[in-house]
Amino acid sequence: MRDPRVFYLFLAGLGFWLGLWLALGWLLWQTRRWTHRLETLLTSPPPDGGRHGETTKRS
Amino acid sequence: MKRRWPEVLWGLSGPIGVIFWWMAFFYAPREREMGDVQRIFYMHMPMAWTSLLAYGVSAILHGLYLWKRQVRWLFYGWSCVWVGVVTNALVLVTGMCWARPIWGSWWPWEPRLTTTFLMFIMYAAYLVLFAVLLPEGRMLGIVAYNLFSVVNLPIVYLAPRLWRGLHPVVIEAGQVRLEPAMVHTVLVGWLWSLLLALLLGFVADRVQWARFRLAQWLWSGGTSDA
Repeated sequence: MRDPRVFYLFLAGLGFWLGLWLALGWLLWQTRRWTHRLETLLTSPPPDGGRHGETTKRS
Repeated sequence: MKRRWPEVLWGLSGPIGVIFWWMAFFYAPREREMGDVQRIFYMHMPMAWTSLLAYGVSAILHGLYLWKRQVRWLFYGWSCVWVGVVTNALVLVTGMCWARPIWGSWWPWEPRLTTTFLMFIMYAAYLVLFAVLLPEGRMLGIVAYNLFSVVNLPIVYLAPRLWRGLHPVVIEAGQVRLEPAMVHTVLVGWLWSLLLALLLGFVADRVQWARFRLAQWLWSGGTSDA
């Protein structure tokens, strides 16, 4: 006869894994999105032809 | 499909994790002497292998940085250490959970436990050192410390063989002291822990790279060619 606690532990472990797996998927998606945005921002020329944010500082 | 394979690995890791969890609790037989507590081993041992592998690979990547002098290799190496520290922490926690009912103590200071704990502390210190030395551009200091820390790996592996402690030795002289179903579970568990480590590594590397690019851009005065 199998100890019923094994089944509860299995369910808890499965829940933990699914939560972790979804969290990892979300982190992968977010890091991809943000690194892409950052690269675009850092490599694109600023609209005023000078440095990023300079127009804002002067005004 | 460019650089989509982290997402593909993530997709694979989900069902492999579910299969592993099922194997650890239902496929692997109940151990005669230790009972169900022994099932912790299916997470403990694969995580231990993964952490040792991550630390080993980090040393190779730091060596590659010395050779190529491209900061990318240093960041890959850092990600490996980060993953190694996370899996090492899991090894220590799962080991303690097993030790309490089996040895009657959460933490007996025996050779394998002591050396694993020292390895964890040394690599955790590496992460701190990296955060301090990188902004100063002292890359060689980071590499030197990492290559020094890799000495831990053979010591941890050989500890129970050199100084007979309490820690069980599963593989001795090429012989695996486990039933086939247990070996299958350990191998699937290792595959799962490797996938988990890779995914954690991808996330860590992307965050570290983004931080570096932003710092580089700020130091260059905010010019677009940073």
